[in-house]
Amino acid sequence: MNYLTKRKLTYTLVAIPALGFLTLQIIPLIYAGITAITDAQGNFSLHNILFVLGDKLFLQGLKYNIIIPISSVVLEAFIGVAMAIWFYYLRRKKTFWRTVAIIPFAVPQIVYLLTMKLVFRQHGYLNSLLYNLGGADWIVNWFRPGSILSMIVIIFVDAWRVTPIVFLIVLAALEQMPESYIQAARVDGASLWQVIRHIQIPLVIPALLVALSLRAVDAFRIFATPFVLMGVQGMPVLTSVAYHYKIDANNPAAANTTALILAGGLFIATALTLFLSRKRNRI
Amino acid sequence: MNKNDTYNRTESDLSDRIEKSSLWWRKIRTTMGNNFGLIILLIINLGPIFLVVRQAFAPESESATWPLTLLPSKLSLQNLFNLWKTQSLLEHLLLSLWVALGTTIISIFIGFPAGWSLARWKKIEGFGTRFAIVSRILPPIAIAIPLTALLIPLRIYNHPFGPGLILAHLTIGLPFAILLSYSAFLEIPNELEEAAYIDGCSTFGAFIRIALPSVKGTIATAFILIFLLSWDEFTYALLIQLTHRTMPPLIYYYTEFGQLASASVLAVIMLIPAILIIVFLQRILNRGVLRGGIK
Repeated sequence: MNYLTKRKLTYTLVAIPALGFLTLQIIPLIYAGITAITDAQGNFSLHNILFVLGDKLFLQGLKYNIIIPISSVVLEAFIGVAMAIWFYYLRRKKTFWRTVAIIPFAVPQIVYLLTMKLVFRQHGYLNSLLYNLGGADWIVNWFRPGSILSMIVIIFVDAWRVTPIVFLIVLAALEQMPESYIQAARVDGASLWQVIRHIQIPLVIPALLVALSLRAVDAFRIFATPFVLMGVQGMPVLTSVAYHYKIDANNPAAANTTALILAGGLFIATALTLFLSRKRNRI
Repeated sequence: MNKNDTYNRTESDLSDRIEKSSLWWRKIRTTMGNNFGLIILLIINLGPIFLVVRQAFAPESESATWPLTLLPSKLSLQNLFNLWKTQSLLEHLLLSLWVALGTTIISIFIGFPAGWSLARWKKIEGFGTRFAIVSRILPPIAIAIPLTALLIPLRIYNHPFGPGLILAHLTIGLPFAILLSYSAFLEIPNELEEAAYIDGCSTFGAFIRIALPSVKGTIATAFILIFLLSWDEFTYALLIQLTHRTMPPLIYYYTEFGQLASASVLAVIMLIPAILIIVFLQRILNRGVLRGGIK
């Protein structure tokens, strides 16, 4: 092949999206960085950063932005693996039930959140059910700001939507695994539980890690779930706090600072994870 | 017993053996446990969807009743008609469709050639995949807020035809198209294009005539998935189209102001393309495209 002409062509074809990436992501980021460290007159100042770090809403957002994603990812991992193993041994029309299992992920996020709002709101379907079962005493305020219960509901709602990703990747890994591993263990007298515990789970861990590392980044960028269900004040996370600064408080500099703190934290965490995993692989 | 039988065994045979070796009551318990679990799964996943459809087609007066009933007293299209009269529903719907189509077509037109270049030219491979990873890490809100400030002087902020939003959605659609096409082109042998090149085809011609037709299925997959990514996208749409809203922010505003019946009608409309993904996702999964796209 004539690589000289090919090289020119390939560079051009890659340069177009790269330029697009530069203009659409790097330039806004630089602009955000500049607004974060300057005041209204354009002089260097740490005013925005100090304002944000001293704001109660931001600190609350930071707290929730750590608790919710971590619990959500852990929950996804457990439910996803458990469901995958259950489906592996299921003797049913698998295609149909797999479709049922991925519904929360397949419907649009906003529609999923609207359904959850219909179910969990004060005069919603779950409270109607509880009222019919046990009267007015049984009614629960699922979204009381600051309560542990509301946090648990948000974590479950957030985790349940993306569990299908973990479930599908782990199930695919289970089904690709050679049957002979399990047969050998069965012949040697292992129980079903021992097969799951000592053969299947250890062998799906690489696939699980891929799925979770994908999910972890998304989990820390959480925005719509607490924002739609409880509002900015009800359950702030860093993204919704940034939205609040920008739209409600009309303070774009503080909004940019908040968003950049989140982006920076994520970037450092990702780089650190990659670095550590590479170091461990080398040993 | 044929020697091949040991290799052709499916897992259901194995679980058959496992269950046959167990006691009969354990077998019954397993079957009942499975049925119970599947019914719970069905209720948790399909129940809320049913409730949204129920809310959309119930008379509006019923949404304020307490306690709520599982079935509406009668079916009506009143909510849809109300929405049609008070809000220019069609405008929002067409804007959403237009933005999603624009994003999809541009992503595929730019992304597939780039994916092909990355797959065929090893030197820039690492650069391209790294760019796709970095663009995944950034939270959309960190881009959306400064982007609104930059779109205002270009006069495409909150534009009725949403060009600013298409640009923003490209940051999601383009990496997706590149990764998906990259993994698809890697599976196609280089020799086909080389043969075409030797027979007098230009490099670009080899791409158009040989490489592209052999990834037709991936193009269809990319089309559906990018369309749905843009159709569902919430954060950019919320910040960039402040008054000329696409469907997801519109649903959010109706939810926020307590008009859940109207929000449910919009949600049912939004669900229609989502049914596509439920049908197509099975085919995509069977082909293993999803896993390739992730790697």
